[in-house]
Amino acid sequence: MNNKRKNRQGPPRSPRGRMLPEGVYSNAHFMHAVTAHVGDNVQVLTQSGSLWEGVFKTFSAQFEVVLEVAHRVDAEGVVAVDSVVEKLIFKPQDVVSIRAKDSDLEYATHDVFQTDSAISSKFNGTFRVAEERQLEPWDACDGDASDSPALNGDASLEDLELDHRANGWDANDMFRKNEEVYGVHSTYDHSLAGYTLPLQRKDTQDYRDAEAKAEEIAAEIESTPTYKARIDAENGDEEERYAAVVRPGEGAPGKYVIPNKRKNIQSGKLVKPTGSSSSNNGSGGGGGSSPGGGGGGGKPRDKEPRPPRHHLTPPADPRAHNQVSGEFIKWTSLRTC
Amino acid sequence: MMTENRISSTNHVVNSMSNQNKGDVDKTIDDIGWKSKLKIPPKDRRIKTSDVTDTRGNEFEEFCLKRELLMGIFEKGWEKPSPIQEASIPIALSGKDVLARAKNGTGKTGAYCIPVLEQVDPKKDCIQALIVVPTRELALQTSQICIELAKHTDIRVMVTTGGTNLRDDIMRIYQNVQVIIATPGRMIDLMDKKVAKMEHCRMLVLDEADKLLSQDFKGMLDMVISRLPKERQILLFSATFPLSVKQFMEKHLREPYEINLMEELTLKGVTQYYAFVQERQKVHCLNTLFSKLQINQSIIFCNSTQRVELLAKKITELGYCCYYIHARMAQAHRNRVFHDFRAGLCRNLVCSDLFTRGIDVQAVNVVINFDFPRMAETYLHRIGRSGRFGHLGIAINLITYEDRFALHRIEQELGTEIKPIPKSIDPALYVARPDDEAD
Repeated sequence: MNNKRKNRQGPPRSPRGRMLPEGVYSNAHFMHAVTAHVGDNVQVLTQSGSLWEGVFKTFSAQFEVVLEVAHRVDAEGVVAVDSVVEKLIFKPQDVVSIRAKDSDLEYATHDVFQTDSAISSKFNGTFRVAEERQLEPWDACDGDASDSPALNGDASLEDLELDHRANGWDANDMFRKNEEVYGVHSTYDHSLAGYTLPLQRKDTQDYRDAEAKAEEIAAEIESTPTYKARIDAENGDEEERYAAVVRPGEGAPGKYVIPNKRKNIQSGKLVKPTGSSSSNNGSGGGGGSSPGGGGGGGKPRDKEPRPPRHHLTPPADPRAHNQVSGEFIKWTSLRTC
Repeated sequence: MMTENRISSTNHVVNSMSNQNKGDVDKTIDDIGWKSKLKIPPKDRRIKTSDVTDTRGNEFEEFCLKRELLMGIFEKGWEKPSPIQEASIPIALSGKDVLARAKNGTGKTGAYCIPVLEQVDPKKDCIQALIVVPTRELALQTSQICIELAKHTDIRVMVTTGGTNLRDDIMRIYQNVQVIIATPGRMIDLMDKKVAKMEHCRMLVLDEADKLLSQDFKGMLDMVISRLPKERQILLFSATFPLSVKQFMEKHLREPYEINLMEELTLKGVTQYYAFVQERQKVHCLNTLFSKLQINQSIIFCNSTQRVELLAKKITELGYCCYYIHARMAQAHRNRVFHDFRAGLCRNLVCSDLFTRGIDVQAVNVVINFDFPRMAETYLHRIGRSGRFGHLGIAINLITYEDRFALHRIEQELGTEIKPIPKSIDPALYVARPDDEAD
């Protein structure tokens, strides 16, 4: 499955020439622990109390330890330059301790920190080239008619398309419908209990003073010019920004207008509402509204009137929608056949 | 088999640890006492993939965490550390900077919340750790997890984003909060006004760092870091690793320990299909899917706010309960939808890409791209909403003629294969059975 790792395990051990390891070499666990540090910078403390540092080169069956570019270091870690020797062998009886600091036992396998393209590039060639591939059309009549409940007659087929004459669906309508028809009863707590630190409200002058001060600071922050831009950054919808469904005449009039901007004329990219945002935010904090909804970063709040929703006109006469269809793209134009 | 190297290279460490434990007999007896008193939720018996089971076999107890924190971990139902947790927790506890790359839904939140909570001193009344995330919902979710983990400690955790009440949040900071989960903009505002005093904040976590370092937040993280003390630890988590993250790492991280658990970009447990349809067939196709699939919970993605609302409406008309969520809703509505969907009150959710990152709803087993995304990264984040924590799930993409090149390109960029949807989909691929065993 994962060949890469297996390949790292090196050549298979040959069965011939078996001999029993001698000395410390016969202690498998010890060997494992020590060989893991070969190549590391280590510090050897000797019987005489001096500390030597160098690259751990190898060790013998009697555990004579070889350091390369070995040098003495003093207690402060300063290297004694005159003591550097190319190779130094320690007898086991001289060694008090060997310390490998900051050693990383996985350095050989985890340093391959790859960018996305590096990860996917190893699949190059294993997949069919784009042009070669034929997509299989979805079979609409697939399965029994009973499997697809709403498939009788032309009328219901029409039901199976998005109603592009409508402009959207108000959130309150959404909550109501799901509650009334499907019995979805919300357990959401507006104080955000469980999500954040509970406020310990006190009926003292100190508390009221602190609250007034907090109020003031909040208002100050919300009136700074950078506030809105910073808030907007965390609300980004990445796909909307970089790509979206193909719309004829991208950026032209007729682009979907979000609820609180429907009075504005759209020109190219989304227009940020000017002026009104800071006062909105000020009133949001000042009104002491619920933590969940208050200070909502200039977004429309429940209490703000939303522009009329076209789909709220009596559904009995769908033709009534036609009068507004010019305002938005007719999605039918997206159809491919 | 895959982990043979890793297991053997750490054997001696594990051994020495368990020896220590054995030596401490009193503690062991005590251990049995406290663990039996915990309210541990029922064991999750669903099948898990090697994305989360491919571990060295460490236990949470081996990280030498404070008892109160361990209690929170077990009461959350977390039994054993996932690979990313196993790799990052000990390193993070040693105080080193960490750069971790792991797939979505493999336990990243725990991988940083645990070392953060372990290192916070509940007796010190100052901000000691800051966790920065790119979106409001992710902030809420992270904060909730952190609060649950810290349940038995006295650590005070709060969340502040644009969308929470600023005055109340300032009052919370006055209540001597110790851990803050925030979006960058809100945090900078609070630091600029000297409300949030950062001189003792020695831990900074950046989750979804690729997003935080994207153009959307340009320069904001540099501003956050400039207000932290010089001696600080940064834990950086990201599922994707673009150049911006690399540059940030070189600038701000000190000899970071790199954890890379990504050898492929897509989640193992998620089977991907496409249905090649005409635009006007999409609802029909979706209706068929709904009637055939065994949906535990589903997330359906559209590419525009309008289509999100219209599709949700349509789905409720077809006979299924359905919420929608997008960035242009009132925050209180967003919170309510987010909360209720995570609580499993509503089975289906239509959304825009607001919801693609980091959001963890473990019950989601079906993701449908009603509109196909243009970017491989978006695709990856979207389908990552199913198959959370190594569970199984399916992703179904409705592909129109216009989408065909995007489909091929994304397949190639991710090195994955999206197959045509079969007549019937084997429930074993995405439906959890009660007799499933983790091992």
